[in-house]
Amino acid sequence: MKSLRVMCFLPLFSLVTGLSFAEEPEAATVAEARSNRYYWFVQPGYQFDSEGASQPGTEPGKVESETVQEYVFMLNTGIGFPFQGSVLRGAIGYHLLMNWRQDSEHLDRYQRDPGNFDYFPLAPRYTNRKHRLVLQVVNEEDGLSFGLKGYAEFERYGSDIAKGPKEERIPNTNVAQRYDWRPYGGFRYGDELQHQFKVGTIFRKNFSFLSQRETYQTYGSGGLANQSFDIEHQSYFDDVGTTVGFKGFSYSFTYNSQDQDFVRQGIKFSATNITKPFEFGARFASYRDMYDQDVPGSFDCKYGGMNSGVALCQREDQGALYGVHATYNLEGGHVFSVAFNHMATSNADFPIYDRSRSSLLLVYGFSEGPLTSLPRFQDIHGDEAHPQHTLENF
Amino acid sequence: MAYLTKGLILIQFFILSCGTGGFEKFWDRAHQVRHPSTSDLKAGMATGTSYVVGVPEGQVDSFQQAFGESGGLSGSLKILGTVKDEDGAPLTAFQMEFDEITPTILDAWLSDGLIAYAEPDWKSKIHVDDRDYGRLALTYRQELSSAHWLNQINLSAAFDAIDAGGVGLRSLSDGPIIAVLDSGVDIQHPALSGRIFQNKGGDAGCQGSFFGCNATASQLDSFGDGQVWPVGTESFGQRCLSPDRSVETICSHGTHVAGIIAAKVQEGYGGICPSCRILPIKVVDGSAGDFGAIYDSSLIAALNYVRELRGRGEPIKIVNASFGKFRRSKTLGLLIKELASGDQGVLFVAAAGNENTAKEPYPASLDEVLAVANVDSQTMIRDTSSNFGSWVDLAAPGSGDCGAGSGIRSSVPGGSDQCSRGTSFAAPVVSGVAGLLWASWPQMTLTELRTRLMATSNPALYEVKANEAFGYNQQKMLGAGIIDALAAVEGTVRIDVSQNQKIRQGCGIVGLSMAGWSPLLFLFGPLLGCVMLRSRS
Repeated sequence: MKSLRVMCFLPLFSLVTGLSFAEEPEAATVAEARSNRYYWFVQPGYQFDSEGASQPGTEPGKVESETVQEYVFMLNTGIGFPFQGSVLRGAIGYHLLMNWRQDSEHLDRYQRDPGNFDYFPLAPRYTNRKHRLVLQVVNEEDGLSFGLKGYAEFERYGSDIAKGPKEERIPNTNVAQRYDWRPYGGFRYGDELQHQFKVGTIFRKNFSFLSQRETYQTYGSGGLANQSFDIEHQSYFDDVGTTVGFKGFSYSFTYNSQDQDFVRQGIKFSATNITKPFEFGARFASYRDMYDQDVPGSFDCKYGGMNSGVALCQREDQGALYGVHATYNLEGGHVFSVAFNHMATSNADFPIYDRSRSSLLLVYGFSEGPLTSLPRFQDIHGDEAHPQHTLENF
Repeated sequence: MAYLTKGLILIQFFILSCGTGGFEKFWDRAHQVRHPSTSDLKAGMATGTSYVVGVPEGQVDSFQQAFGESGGLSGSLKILGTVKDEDGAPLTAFQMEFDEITPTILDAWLSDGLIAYAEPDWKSKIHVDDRDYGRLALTYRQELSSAHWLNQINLSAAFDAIDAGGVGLRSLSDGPIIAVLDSGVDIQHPALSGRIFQNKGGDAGCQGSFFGCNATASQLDSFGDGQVWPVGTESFGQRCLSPDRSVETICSHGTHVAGIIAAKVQEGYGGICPSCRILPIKVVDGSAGDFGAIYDSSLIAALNYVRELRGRGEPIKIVNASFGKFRRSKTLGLLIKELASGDQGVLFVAAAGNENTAKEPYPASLDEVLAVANVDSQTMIRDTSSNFGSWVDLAAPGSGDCGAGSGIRSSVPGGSDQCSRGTSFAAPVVSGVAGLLWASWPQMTLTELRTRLMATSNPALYEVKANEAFGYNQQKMLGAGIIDALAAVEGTVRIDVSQNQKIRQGCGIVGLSMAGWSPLLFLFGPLLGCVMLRSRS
């Protein structure tokens, strides 16, 4: 029974922290996990992003669609310390998530002159670093559980190491400070306690040092109206080794500028199958972003370019998320994963807000400790609780 | 034979000249009716419809009668006074104002003896010292009274205030340099003569950069050695040809922007900051297959060039960016942040864009950049194309009647001018006022400069009914107000622009004042304590 408890809470944990612990329902696994006092991992990877969005056209007032490709090399490492008492379990760890993001123009330049270190894609001064302290605590007893999971993160960009010949062209800069804490509570039911229902909330603050307009939080002082909630139901089907989940969510994003505030409401379906040594997963989410404040628009609230009339129009974007992933777990902690995600947000009245993003991720991971599955240490599935599905923020 | 003929003509010429009072008199009589040339008209030296004529004594009534009876002619006739011709014969001078150009009738009157001469009503220019703000105010009031965009920002009054306060520049060479990141500038335009920064201190990473820099050629070296090449506008030639010589207006946009900032007084327009100098940096690609594109790499190279020059001590105080897109470049954002940091940082001014949307463009919506929306220069109504949003910092005239259409009148290549409309031309209005303010108060820090521009702007635009939608719910989507040069110079604060951010650094609902990792103690401390206690139990 305890093994089931471990299995059911861990997938959610992995969504936030990127960690997946022992997935096997056998009791022996838990015993093994208890014997481990630490874990560490190294995970190099590569990601291809293609993002489409509206851009100002060459003609005044015209808008054109533009697609940009970016290539991301990543290297994630981490160390942590699991703990497990009679009813309280969890882990605390430090993860360093690094990536080097370049566009095709930059890579073309490097390919033409590979001897020019200025354009070396993995140069230290292009390094984006996230120092992340992760924490998970869960208290589970008699089918009832409550816990807290999340992280605190500090993001920096650039490096003073191996500067370019023209001194500090890319300075070592603070990018953002983030907190993401998700308390939740729930209960299990069923003959094998194979079903679980959970209610959770998100306390996330993204404080950007680069732009006030990217600073937001998912909670507020205005009571429940500004709070973010989700309810989730998961069922594990032992005969096919598959977990099926449903989630309904309402996330509130509060910015410094009221016109940016919006509420995202939607549903998500997910399924994960574990057929050792493989793991397959798929997910689909549909949501809408409802903006708190009406925006001035043309007189009929349709995007028409230069219409003279002005009216206050409600902005509501429709969004969808699709994702699949496959993982191959080798003996000894070696893991290969591939994932593909596509997100699209559109607004029929204001197509200027349309945007889409496709990502392909290939990662290899090696770990030691109670981490038998390493699909990712970044959120390869995307996160429906993230306000902007942009390349930059992904 | 040909030589003999030419010699005889020459001898005859001198004989005639001497016999009628000399060479000068001959020349004058040969030009008894003079019309302005095309170049005279283009340079604004004459209107083509206004003449001064000398009427011999005894012909005054006949002339007036002829003027009144001339079929198809309409206009005005004023007596200016009496003059004497070269022989001492009295003449009555008239000023004739036609509604249309009628060169032939003057010749007819001359043949009939009604007039002794006619010449264009030449227009002279006052040679105003760029630091003499009192004279500048007078000139702008007299000659640019119909330039509504200058009236809206109270420019003449600002000149007066600077003059009265005696806070003008010590010398012109101390004037601020405004980098115009644009399509290039026609530096041979008469209106910009002497207003272009000359880089006499070396290339600064941009080879041959005497009159600015062509940063588009360096896009492949966005972080590299900065081998940016000389400007691509035909050596900044007058025609600003594209590389394939098919397009002649490639630098029209940049020339227009530069003129709004610093043009000398011309027919119908003049620059806002006479003591500013323009640093042209070409970032708009001019290659045949990619015409009009602005790559981030070009912008990065351009800003690196600005940094090089600033490092050398050149007073580049303002960067004008009359362009934008909806995608943010992290590298560009970091560069702007770096250049705009500190008391002596660069003020970035950018156009809000012309897509009629609240979607944030970059670089305008970056924290460090003043985003400028476009309002009508007379009615203060937002232009229907102007972008808007809480990210807009200021509004400025970028449309409205300018005599020949809507917009702002300014210089364009070839010594000409035109009216153009859009936030592209509202942004340089703010850049010009910022330059004027800095020229008046050189000790002002970047934060003070920025705050003063916003706090002294005119919020009356939100009282206009057509703009109500952009100011409801205490959310100002067209910025603090319309830029006001007079209030900025005098420091007349109208608006509280202090920002009280809801979301602050640190943990908690509103955030604690602590920075760095210290807030983590509040998060992890209790949790770890809880974990340890429960584990022991």
